[in-house]
Amino acid sequence: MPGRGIKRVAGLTVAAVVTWWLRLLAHSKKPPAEGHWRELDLRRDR
Amino acid sequence: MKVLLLGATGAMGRRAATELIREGGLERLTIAARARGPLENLGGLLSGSVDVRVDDFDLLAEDPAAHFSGHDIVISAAGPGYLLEERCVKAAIDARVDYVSLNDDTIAAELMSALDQEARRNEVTVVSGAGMAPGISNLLVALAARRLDEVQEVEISVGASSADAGGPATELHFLAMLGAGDFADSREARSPHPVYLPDPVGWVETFGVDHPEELALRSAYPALQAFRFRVGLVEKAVMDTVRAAAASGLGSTERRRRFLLTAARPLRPLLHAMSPGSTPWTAIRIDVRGTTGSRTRTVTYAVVDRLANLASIPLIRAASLVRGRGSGVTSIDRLSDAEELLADIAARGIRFGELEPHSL
Repeated sequence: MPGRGIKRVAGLTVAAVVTWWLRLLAHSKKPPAEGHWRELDLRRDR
Repeated sequence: MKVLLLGATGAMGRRAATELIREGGLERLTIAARARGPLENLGGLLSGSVDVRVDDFDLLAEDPAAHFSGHDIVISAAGPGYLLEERCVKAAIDARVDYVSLNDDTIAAELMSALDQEARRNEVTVVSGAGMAPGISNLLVALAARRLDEVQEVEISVGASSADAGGPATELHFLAMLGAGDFADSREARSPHPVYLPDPVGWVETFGVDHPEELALRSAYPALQAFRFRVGLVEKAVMDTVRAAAASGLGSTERRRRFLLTAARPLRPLLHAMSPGSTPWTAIRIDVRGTTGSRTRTVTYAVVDRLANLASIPLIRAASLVRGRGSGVTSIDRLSDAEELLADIAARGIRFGELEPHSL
């Protein structure tokens, strides 16, 4: 039946988008800071 | 000084126009773009203390040299560079007018060296790429190099925001960079690499691309063994979509890129909502590795601000330095002392930082 193919593609698409979104959520938890950004005083440093 | 500002009605151009007026010393400012309506609106806002004129023309449809003549300098905030830069530089040389731009296209930058002799013959100075990168990136590398005896590796990383993008020219360039085979070849460069940038940008997943700084750096630092340029968007969902589109060939031609930008417009709010914690700021970081005596050392600097500020402030500072030099094709770090130029940019409210890594 042609409807089954469409349903399968739609299901796979939804699954892919949900998986992607879960990965995005996981990615939003950032690692700790690598260090401290000290402001450069360019005139003083010159 | 009689100045012609190209791309004046874009996000970068508008910021550059206000920076030019603030800088002073203008005898006449001609603002140019394709559409007359927005130009006249901008002209109305800018005029007052300065003689502001408008010139609506298409850089690709007309001979730019005819429009450039009669000015002391052409400042270009128009893009994308792969379409416009070579044409504009040739026109500036023909019209014997100095030229400074925001070009960040590698292929266009590679074509510049062939125009150097002609530019020198016509006593013209050309700085193709005097914005954030190339521009601030070159200056920060020059500053870092002072603390090293020998520069061996340079890595430049940009964390940009699609909510802080300059407009269609910036977006087309970004797509072209990722999609037209410019993606740096090695697997190491193609794989995601998290980079730590100043707040509020923080960690960004970046990918290797080719970028014009390599040309100037290889000539300035003969011991340079490796150069990497990495770029990523703070909105990971947007970056994933752009990479997927680029991988499927949608970034490979101008027509496809324009189609992609139009087709993706309705999806943007959704993609932004899918990228929690993203922020509309742009940051650039440079890591310069080299030797001091017998020790190996890495110096890391960075800056964060709105892209329009990071691009336009160095652009206008560079423009104020080129007049009457006749230096041919050159780069921003050769116009003046790098630290002095960075201090001038800092005086405009841009804050630069040096990374002090947490000890292990």
